[in-house]
Amino acid sequence: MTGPEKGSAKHMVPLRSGIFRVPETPDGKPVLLGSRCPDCGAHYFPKRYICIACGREGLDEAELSGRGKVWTYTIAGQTPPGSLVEAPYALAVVELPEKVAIRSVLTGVDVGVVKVGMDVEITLVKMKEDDDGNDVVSYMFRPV
Amino acid sequence: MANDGTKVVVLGVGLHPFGRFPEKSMSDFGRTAALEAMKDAGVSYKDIQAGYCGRVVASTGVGLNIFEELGSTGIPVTNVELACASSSRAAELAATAIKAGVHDMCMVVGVEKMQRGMLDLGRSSGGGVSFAGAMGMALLPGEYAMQARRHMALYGSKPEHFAQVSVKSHKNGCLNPYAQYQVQLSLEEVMNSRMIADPITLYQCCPTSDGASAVILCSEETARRYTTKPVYLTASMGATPIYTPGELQLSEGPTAWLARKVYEKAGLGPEDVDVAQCHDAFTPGEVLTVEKLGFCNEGEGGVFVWEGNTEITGKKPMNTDGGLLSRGHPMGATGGAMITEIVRQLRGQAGPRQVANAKVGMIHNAGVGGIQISILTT
Repeated sequence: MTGPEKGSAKHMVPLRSGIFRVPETPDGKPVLLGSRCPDCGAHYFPKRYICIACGREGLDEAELSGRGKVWTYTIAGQTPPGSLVEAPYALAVVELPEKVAIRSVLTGVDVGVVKVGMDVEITLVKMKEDDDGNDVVSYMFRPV
Repeated sequence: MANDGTKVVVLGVGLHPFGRFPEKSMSDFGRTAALEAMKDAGVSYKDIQAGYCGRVVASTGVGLNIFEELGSTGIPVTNVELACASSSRAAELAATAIKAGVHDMCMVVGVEKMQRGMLDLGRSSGGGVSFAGAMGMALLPGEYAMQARRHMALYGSKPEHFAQVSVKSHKNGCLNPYAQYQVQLSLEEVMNSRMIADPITLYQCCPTSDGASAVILCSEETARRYTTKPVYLTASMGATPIYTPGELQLSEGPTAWLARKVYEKAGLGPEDVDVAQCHDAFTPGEVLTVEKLGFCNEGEGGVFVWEGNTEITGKKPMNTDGGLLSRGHPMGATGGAMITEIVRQLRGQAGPRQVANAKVGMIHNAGVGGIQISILTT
């Protein structure tokens, strides 16, 4: 039996399932998966069962926007226990048009130029490899 | 709303010093603080009718272990956990029981024994590293730092405004023999210490600590047998975050909203507060909280602190005993320590830390899980 070929989607597994959709190819974009209330339209991330705004039970899965603005940020000077991301790095709260807050590390940016209000977009990042040689992937945001 | 019942008096307070005591146990800390509080109140253990133990990390049975150091009288003992606000919440629960006539004299012991280093908040319930932990997002100083960065972007506050909280705190800690740190720090030393999460440097973070606090509460009627100058726990309430559609928020709870409710319950306003305690786990805690408690306008907290208004001699003395930053932060014990300092201030027993004519004290205590705000009066 032949194994998966390098560069194919079979080589990418999410760091945690259910939070984002892994793209078909490594140069594709991940898509955040949140919840949307079919009654009042409110969005949530991460997913939840009950709508806080109107009380409806059972919400739809929603694909969230891939672009937003930096609502606030900090530059971590010390790597927290268990983190695969090493300091220094920029940690931000990104506000999406759906009015949800996404905590995310910022990549592809000099930590010194991060500003509140910056436009950022989601991007796929490889965090590590698993025991089967797959790329374990996650999301970060980077300047537009 | 149901009748509020009797007024509650804080009859006795006591502490075990905060710091590092590797050779001592939580029972040792708790016993020491409890003995000091009982002596302060003029009561013995047989007078205590119920016990509450505020603690975070310690496991099942810790409350009983501590109270059994003191005696074995059969009273109900309840463990209370609200992260860094555990013993504040425990005091409210004791007060509620007193008002309801269920118990009269209660003792709240807050205690913690902690490891060194950054708190590991990146664990999943299964014990492994959580997604947030693996992605570098489980960073408690980061949460306060992000609040500071947004405050700087919206209102123009500066890194030195936050750092000044630590300068004041350490100066006050030198006047408190129970404080973990009794050393002055200059603004330069604070700002040049290692960057933890911009703009929060190492000396703008509270330490991990060992220690304990004890607070004895009773009804007003019982208190008359022991003191002619009672200090009342006039109001104490808790809250968790309130969802507002379309609005992002970072705080542990709705501080301004809860403060208004507590003021209303006490029949007082921010102008009446003579001395206060707030949750300065990291320096932005004080800058943001003075606004939310109504001591200054929104956005002005940085300048308010910078201009000395929260010094012992200032308009709104805050954390006169050093706060979490210098007094230390054994998580379960902090709420009781805040109550202890406010009681000493209102009794005129704060020595070199004394605020002149202190009659109304306010406490803001926060934790992962919610906040607690209290007002004490003479």
